[in-house]
Amino acid sequence: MAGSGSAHLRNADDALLRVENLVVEFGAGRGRKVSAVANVSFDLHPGETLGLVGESGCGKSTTGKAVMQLPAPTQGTVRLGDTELTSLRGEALRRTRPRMQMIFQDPISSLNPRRTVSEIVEEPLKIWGLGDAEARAAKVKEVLEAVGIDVDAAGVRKPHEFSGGQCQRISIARAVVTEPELIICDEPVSALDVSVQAQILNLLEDMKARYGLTLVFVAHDLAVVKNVSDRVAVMYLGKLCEIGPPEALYAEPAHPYTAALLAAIPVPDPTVDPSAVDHLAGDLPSPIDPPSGCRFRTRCPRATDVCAHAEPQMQAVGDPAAGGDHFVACHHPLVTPVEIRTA
Amino acid sequence: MSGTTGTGPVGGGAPAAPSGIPGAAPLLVVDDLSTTFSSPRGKVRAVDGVSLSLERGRTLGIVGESGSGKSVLSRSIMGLLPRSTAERTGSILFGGNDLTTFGDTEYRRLWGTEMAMIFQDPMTALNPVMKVGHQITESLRHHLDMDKATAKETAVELLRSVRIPEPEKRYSTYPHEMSGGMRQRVVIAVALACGPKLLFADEPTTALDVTVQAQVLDLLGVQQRERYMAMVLVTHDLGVVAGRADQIAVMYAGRIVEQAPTRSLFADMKMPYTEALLSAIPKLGDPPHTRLAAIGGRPPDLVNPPAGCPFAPRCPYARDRCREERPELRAVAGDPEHLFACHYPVDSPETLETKDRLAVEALMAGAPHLADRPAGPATAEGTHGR
Repeated sequence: MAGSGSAHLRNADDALLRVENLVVEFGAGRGRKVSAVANVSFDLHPGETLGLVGESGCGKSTTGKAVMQLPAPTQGTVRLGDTELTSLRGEALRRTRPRMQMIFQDPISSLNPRRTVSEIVEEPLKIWGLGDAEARAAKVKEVLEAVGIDVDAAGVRKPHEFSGGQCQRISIARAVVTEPELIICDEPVSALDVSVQAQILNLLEDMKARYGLTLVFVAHDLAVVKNVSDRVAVMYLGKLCEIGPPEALYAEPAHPYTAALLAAIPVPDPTVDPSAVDHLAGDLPSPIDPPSGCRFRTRCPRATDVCAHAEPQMQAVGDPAAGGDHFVACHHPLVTPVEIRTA
Repeated sequence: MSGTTGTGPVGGGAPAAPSGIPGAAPLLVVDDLSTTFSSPRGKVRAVDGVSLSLERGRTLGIVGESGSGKSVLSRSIMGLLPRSTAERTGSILFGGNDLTTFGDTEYRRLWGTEMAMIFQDPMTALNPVMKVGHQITESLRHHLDMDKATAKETAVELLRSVRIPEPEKRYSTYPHEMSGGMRQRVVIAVALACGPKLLFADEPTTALDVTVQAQVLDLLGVQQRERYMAMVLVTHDLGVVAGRADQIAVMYAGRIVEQAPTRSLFADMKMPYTEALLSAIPKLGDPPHTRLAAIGGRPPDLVNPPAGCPFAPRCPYARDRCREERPELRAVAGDPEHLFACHYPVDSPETLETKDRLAVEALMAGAPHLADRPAGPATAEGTHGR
């Protein structure tokens, strides 16, 4: 990767969300630009969860927000169902909002501290004029009960009276109340303890089954992402490195960056010496002046001259019999590309 | 834990604390330490009768959820809690002195030179309007009485030793110009500057990415070996301490509920809470969409702690005795270094029987998941403070 290309995109008619050549740039003063997301493409089928992983600053959250048009991407297309979101402005764009929702990392600051829990969850219904007061109250009760909160006892309380895990349950209730097609979860469990994290991850799976949700799950923890995802995309410095089904991607990472990320995860086993592993050195380069060619080459143990000159394109790797759904953008992948193998 | 009776691992008659070097006196001996805060609702016993000891060159991992008292414990030892609201009882012997009798003046002589702390958030731990070099030389000049030139030279060396590229250049930058990982290296350099014997690392990598976390933990390990420091690594992640701590203390509701050399802890877990903490971590080896073993509920209210075992309300194996009688910390038969506080440890016949019953019930219900719902009504946990 740190590459481009669209070989990994599937049939457009089957996709609920199709993002193509997404570019997000921010001005950095003096005419410079931060290239936060550079030419990223991915798609999601209805009911699927796409895990988006990478280090801080890799553009995973910006990608999630660009899908929501918060703000609209600099270039590229984002199609939700039959609607091309990037062509919409103002009221037309606002009309699409109930179809997509977001869950944020910090559950406490994402809830209005002056409103009660019932008001917070009811608000989206009021904004969209969905149902009368009675129907709204019934809907609020239903979703709050679905996330494990008793509306009779907790509905009149305010967010500060709840723990982080409870607040995240309320955020989830608020996100599903308009029955959206797509939910972007931006590091929803990063601020929680492992015990609570497990509760929330289980809850997201339950909600997905109950409301038929399609999720983009942005996180930096690869083990968490594997647990919830049907497909995992690894990002580095604004580019997609590798995308594939979690089983294949974790068992046989094709991109050296994916392999490095996997090697860095602390294993709860004292017989494994973590300092014996060669950990990825250095920091993420500046997105103002990203490396030429493959953006990962400055930290990559396999980099050669070609990596500095040519940007790698997405290509299929692994066993086509296993689904043929595993793609990598790398000149020197750790798994043999399909074309070479068949030649 | 032994409550307030003082029969912890270093108390009279209790099993001897594990020793790193035969014959070496421990650097830190905490005996029956309790830290109590006054709150409008009453006394909060955030640390409840903790005893432990640590030699130079060794690492102690303290593990627990938010609110388990792990951070308050390290701050109590460091003397960083406000004396007006936090009251300490018990004793903290550090190099022969009892720190519970120390005031700020005495502590000031220890901070930096004898003991230092690395905090979770490197952005707030550093002064945003002071160049990073100056933040290191400040303590060198104050504690070690160095002249300006020597202090600068030493600071650059320190930056180099924590693997900051171009240390001469970095010396004159501000914290906001650095990445999170670089900032945490600077915080480590500040903490190491005056050569402390005891280093507290309070969730040092929780704010960092996995790749940077691995770099920073490796760095801490190297520095600890080179400087022969004792280190207390506080974290909520058993994965972080598994390969890096010599012994682990698991805290719950202000008490140590299990303590053992790292390998015995993982090989022979006794306390259901330790087991639950480990099972809650998503495993890389598990297939996607595996139901996670969440711990239902949340830690107890420390103003009105439950009468029996504090974990009993959330413990799937709890019996009547657990709710009535508080289990004392005791040693595993044949392993005096492995302590646990549980009436029915995970390998006891009673708990094995409960496990079998729960497994059968789960099968009958057709639900492969066990305790993934809040233990009680969700509202009960959401209404703390009432």
